[in-house]
Amino acid sequence: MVDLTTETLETPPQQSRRPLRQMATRFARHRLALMGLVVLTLMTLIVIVGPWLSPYAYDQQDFALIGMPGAPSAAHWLGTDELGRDAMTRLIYGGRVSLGVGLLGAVISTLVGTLIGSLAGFYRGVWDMLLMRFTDVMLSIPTLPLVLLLSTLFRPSPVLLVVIVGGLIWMGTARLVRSQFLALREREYVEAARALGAGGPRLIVRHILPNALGPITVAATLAVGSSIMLESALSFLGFGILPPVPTWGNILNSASGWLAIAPWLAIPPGLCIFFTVLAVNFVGEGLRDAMEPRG
Amino acid sequence: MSQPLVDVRDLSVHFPVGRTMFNQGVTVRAVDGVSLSIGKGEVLGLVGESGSGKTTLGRSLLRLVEPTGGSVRLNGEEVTTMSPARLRRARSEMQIIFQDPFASLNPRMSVGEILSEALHLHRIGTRADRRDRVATLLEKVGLPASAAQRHPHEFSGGQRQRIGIARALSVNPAFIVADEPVSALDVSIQAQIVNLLHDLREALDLSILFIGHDLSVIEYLCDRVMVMYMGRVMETGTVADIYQRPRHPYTRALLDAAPQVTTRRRTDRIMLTGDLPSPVNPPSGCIFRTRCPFATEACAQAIPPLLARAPGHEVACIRAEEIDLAPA
Repeated sequence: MVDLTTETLETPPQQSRRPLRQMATRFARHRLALMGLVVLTLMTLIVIVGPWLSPYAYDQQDFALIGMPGAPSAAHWLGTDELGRDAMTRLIYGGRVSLGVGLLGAVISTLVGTLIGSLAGFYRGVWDMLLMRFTDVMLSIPTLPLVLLLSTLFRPSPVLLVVIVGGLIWMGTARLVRSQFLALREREYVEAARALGAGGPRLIVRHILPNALGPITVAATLAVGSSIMLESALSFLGFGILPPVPTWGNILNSASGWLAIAPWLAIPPGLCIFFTVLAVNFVGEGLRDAMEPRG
Repeated sequence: MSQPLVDVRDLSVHFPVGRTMFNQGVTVRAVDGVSLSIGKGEVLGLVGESGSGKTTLGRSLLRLVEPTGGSVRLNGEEVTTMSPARLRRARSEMQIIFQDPFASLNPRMSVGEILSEALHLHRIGTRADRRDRVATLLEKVGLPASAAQRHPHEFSGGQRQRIGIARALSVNPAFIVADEPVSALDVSIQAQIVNLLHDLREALDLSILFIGHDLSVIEYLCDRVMVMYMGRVMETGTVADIYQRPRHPYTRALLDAAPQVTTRRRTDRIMLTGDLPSPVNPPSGCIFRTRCPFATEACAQAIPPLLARAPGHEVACIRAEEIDLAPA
């Protein structure tokens, strides 16, 4: 056989730091991103365990307080709404729905965007043309009129809302994934796999997609923000989740009528939306910077 | 040798450039009418400047780039017209080693996964079989079996190139395109990789198309050499033909450009000046004439055919007989 006895390793395998570890370090250096992560973690925890700690149910009415919003007190920390329901309990419950819809909407958006973007970027040519023109069409449709139309056709349910939200925000992800695929498909390791006999699906799933996961993660994170915004907007306008089930959007809607005399009802859900979306965007930005240090 | 393992006739790869809905665009002839053959166990060197079409030629043999014309026969079977399914199977016959060992290994896969990729693709063997096969491959290229669990970023350039070679060998190919496999490596490591290729070729009776621009490596490793310039073959012959008796001015210029450790300095070296002509608008006739010190008006008239000036030594220069390129 081959005489390789003299062929020794030029250096022992380097014990370099794992890229994931490096990324975490860089992320931690991004102050705002770290703060965003803390805020999101706290929010998620509160929203999950909160309802068990609260003595009230979200639709439980205190009949003595019906008629006018109640001011914050020791019994009702954030006051009560005009139907005598505890505002804080509703805020926490609403967070469950808002965060849940936001997260699931982002998941759908990421799946759809990744599927369309990867097919367009990998197969190019006619596929690219058709899929990206479809994406452009979707981008050019004004969201709210479309939602108006849909809500008259279907009774909004949480599941439908998630699908609608996801179906309206995937375009940016599709464009991003397409550009990643266009670049990565020319890499030599992809060519090598092709030379070994790998076909399209395997090249996409095994060789290109794993290397595009970084930017996709960032896009997914940012999609959570847009998704929460969209859900809140829809619920605020009455096309999303309908009362009595609370979401930050529809709490804001019902509180808007009392803004002058009971601002404590509108401000907390507004701040929740504001800080959640801000935190999500900071985390997304931090992730992006951690993955592409030169940006 | 009755029938060459690889037989290429008139191969062309033309790329359309700048074609839009309103514009016909132009055509770049990256490879233009190249013919070559490689026998079993033979190593053909392919030299030329950057942009001469060497890499495109190598890739088009494996249909990683689709040829636009001509024929490639592997073991007598036409490759350019193979169905996708047939081509996928034929790919275990021909492999490629890439130039940049940092770009050619998937950073998300372990070395074991990279080396067993082909076995997965062709559904060969059980899990244990594949593990054994990976260990054998690693040993063949001088790496420990423990490397299989590691990821590419844990290895140096030379080690990565060994992994790239092991991957090419993983399907037991008869023919390998080595696309400048040592150009990206440190000089000290180049020698190891060149020796490894040399040993593997002897041990496995491999046919190799070795693309490179380091003339000393080519001289050491190859049986025959082909010189390319802007997509066309200028000269082809045995290593001795090319290195001792170059007949084409371009070959001579390449040899003269190579640094040499010698006490005698030639005074009649051919030094090329200027850049490559624009590939979208190449010169008429002999493509090299714009940089050739021997060019005459006749050179602009017709593309010089590749003619045998001695057995196995072909030159594409109409003045090959009259000009005197004294032995280097």
